[in-house]
Amino acid sequence: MLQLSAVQKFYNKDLILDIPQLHLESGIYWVKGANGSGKTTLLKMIAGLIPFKGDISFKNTSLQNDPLAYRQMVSWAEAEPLFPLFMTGMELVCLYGSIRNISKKDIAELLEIFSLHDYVNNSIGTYSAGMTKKLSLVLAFIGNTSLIVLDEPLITLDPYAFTAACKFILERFKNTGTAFLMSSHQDLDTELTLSGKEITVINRSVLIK
Amino acid sequence: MNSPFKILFRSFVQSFYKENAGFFVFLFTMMFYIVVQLNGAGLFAYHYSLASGTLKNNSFLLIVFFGWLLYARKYVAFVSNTIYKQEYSFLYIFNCLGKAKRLRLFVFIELLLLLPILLYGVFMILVGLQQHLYFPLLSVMLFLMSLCIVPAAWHVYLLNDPSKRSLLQWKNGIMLPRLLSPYPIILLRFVANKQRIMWAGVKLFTCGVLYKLAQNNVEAGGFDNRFTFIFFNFGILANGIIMYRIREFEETSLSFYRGVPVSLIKRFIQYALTCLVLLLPEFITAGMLVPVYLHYEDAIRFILCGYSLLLLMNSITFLKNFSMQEYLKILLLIFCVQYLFLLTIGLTVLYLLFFILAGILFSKGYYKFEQVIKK
Repeated sequence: MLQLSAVQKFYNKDLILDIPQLHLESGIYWVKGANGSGKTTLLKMIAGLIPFKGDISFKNTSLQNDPLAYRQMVSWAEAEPLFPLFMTGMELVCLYGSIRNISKKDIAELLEIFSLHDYVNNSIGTYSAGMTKKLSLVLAFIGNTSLIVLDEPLITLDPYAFTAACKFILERFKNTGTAFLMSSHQDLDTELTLSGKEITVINRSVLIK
Repeated sequence: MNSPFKILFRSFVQSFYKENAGFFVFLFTMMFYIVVQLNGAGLFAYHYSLASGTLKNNSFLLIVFFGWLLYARKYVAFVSNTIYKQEYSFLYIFNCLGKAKRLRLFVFIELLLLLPILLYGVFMILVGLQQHLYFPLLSVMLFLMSLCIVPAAWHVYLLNDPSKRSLLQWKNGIMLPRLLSPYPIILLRFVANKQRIMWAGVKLFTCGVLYKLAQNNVEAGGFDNRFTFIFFNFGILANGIIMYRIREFEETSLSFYRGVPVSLIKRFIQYALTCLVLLLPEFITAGMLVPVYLHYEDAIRFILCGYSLLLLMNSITFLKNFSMQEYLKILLLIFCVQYLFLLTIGLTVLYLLFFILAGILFSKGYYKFEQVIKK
């Protein structure tokens, strides 16, 4: 499903990640590792946000050779998302909806699940960190992407949103087979965390448990 | 420098000048290099006549006051926004100082922020004194004082009561018609919200220069538009600073967009649309000058040169994470190249080359760009 081949990432000529080969089958994966080990860098590379040496392919579609088709299958949410403060959440939801060709009904469902209705029409400048986080998760869940990459998806969420996010991820995986690649520092004893496989980023490379 | 003043100085003054370095380089080049060379008179003689003319003509003085007011609005907004940044939340400790002391501190800060205008204002006052123009010089003094005191009082008030912020901000900025696809609209809304003063200033300069020089050129009996082109082009280059700011904004608030499934061609078209809207005032001005003051061919060349240049400046920002200084050096280099083309091969080759280069650099650079964390 997800294949990394001869992937190397440098920052200021320092080698941060060196992954000769990595193959992941469909499933829920938790990326673990110490601060600065390169978890976010790995996820950003897989999401097609930053350049790197080598190639990453998903369902035999190469990110380097066919960036558009690859991006149609992958979506992403940041750990600490930043969006234009003058925009409303709804404007971003509509932007994603138009790019990913999703119906208004599906968007309304997502907004309902994460209780975004109350403030989605307000400008993002008025949102708290948790509200912005929920918006970024909703944006990542828009569309029928086959791989969803989430950096620290559960931080800053209130207990209700936390439960909703865990439930949504598990249901989406079970119903559609969508793969999830997520990073987390927390050792949470939830069904979601227990059902995922663990990948550790260590010594510039990755280990699968 | 005592400690409270030092902190305010570093928080507001230093960061304001740093952030607007490009604007000041542009302003000083225009005021003390380009315009003086154009005029042919010495630096002092030119500015002396300019100050004297401003003081003698009430309507011109009002225009100058308006320009100063726009500048003041820029630093007032900068300080106000800084006060509300999370990393500057420690500034609330200043509320423990007495009101008079707070006001005094902020007056000094506003004085420093106003310094470029203040120095020119002092020069105008001296000219006014020498020519016995007491009423206009008094109005200049009062206006400059109010530009220091009113913002200082406002900032003291703002620091004391954060809920007043909304009074200063334009809610949601200027609404743009939904004729464009969403992404260019987001970029244009950013310009309307955060760069409107810069944009208006650049447009005022570019369109004003184009209009006046083309008009003078014809009235003086000539039709050589090379000179007009150089100045018009200088204004277009100043648009590069807006493009740079747009890219900074993209990297901070729209970084997700690189990950969404939009083809490279569509992305390029979106930038091309953004550039087109940004340059509309220049295009309209060129259109207004046709056919009396500008030949059709010249107007088309001006428009295509300006447009291709802005597209190229945008594409350049994807090559590397340039600092503003590096970027300005590149703009200067482009200016020299354009000058060479103007004198030799001509503008048609130039804009064709720029369009092609813009496309190539964008396709090579877009997915490879990364905001590098500098050591």
